[in-house]
Amino acid sequence: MPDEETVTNETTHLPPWTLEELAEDSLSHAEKGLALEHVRRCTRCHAEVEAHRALFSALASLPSFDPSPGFADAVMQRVTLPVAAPAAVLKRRWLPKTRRGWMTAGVGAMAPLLPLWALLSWVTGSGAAAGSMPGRAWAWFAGAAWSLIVRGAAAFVGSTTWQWLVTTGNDLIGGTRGLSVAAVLFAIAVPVSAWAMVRLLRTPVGMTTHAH
Amino acid sequence: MATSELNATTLTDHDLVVRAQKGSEKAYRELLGRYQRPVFSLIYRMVRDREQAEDLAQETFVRVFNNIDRYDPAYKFSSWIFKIATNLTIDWIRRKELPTVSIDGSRYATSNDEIEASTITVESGDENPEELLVSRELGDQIEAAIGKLRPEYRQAIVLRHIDDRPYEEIAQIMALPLGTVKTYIHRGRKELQEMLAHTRV
Repeated sequence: MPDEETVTNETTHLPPWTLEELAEDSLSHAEKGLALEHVRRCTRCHAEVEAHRALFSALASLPSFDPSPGFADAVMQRVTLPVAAPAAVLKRRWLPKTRRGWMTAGVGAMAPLLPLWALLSWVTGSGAAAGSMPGRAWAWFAGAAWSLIVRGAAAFVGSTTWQWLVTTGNDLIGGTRGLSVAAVLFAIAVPVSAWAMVRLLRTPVGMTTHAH
Repeated sequence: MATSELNATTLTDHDLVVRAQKGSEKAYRELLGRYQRPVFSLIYRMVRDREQAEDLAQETFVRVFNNIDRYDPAYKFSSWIFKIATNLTIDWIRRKELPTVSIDGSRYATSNDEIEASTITVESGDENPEELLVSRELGDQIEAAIGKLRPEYRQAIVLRHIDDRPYEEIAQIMALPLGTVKTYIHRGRKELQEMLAHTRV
């Protein structure tokens, strides 16, 4: 209990959640300082914190229960131990596990084929019947996709980034190999970055939020 | 492999899961050894019936182990196993709509032997008989009060205060927003304090 002399007639009290957090020591350092200062002067809040501490302590002291001695054997009798080779386990781990995952993987696999198809259709003039609505739509899409690819590639080759890649490649390796090395590096970097981003987005939010 | 298998107790959960995925029975048994007590305790406190708690705990481990290759290492193994345990238990409670609490053995026991067999003994080795009696009475009162909470509050309280899980992990286990979990815990504490107002707690 606080000193009789330090007790004042507080008219406002700390919120219940703050008192609980103080009792389980999960407030930030600054919040804890302020809360303790209030609790030292306020008998009601002090009593509430003590009541919470007593409850938490009583709950924490409750024993754990053991299952019966044959529990582990009973479980293991029903478990099918995997006999798959590590490579097979690895393969399963990389395969999508849900229908949505398979759909995403399918779309991802098809995506690079679409511009290629557009190019072939544009070059050969094949595709849906030329006069029909789908045919015209397809022709427009094929032309737009091809135009996008050609213009995009031209813009990239003309950019300072490309020049920097070529120059750096040439400086590092020498000769014309620099160009192909730069292209290979770029081709590797793009999917690796995408993979890293996906991993980052799938990682759950950090497990700690309470600063002390 | 044989040498490292001997040190299974020092391996992390993730290492053990990797070994289990490769078919190591010792890894399974080590995981069982680590989690059978907390998982069984959680389930027992939820259903208040030893026999049923054993069945649910067994089902939890069988499901986890038979789907070990689906474990996502982005999450803690403990979160995964507690999540499966709580889902199974809550489903069972909803199906049965548990009306009452019994710390003194199974409600389904029909003979003295069955009551004896299904009763949980709560004892600590470092107390004298008088202290033990008081402590046991208090413990029983707290257990009974926990048993009277709504299943969601009970689950959150047990995970937070008895299993000492952080709020974020409880939110993952219960598949609820963090704010909802905090509200459940706050309300559960309040109800426990009201129910235990007449005791030393």
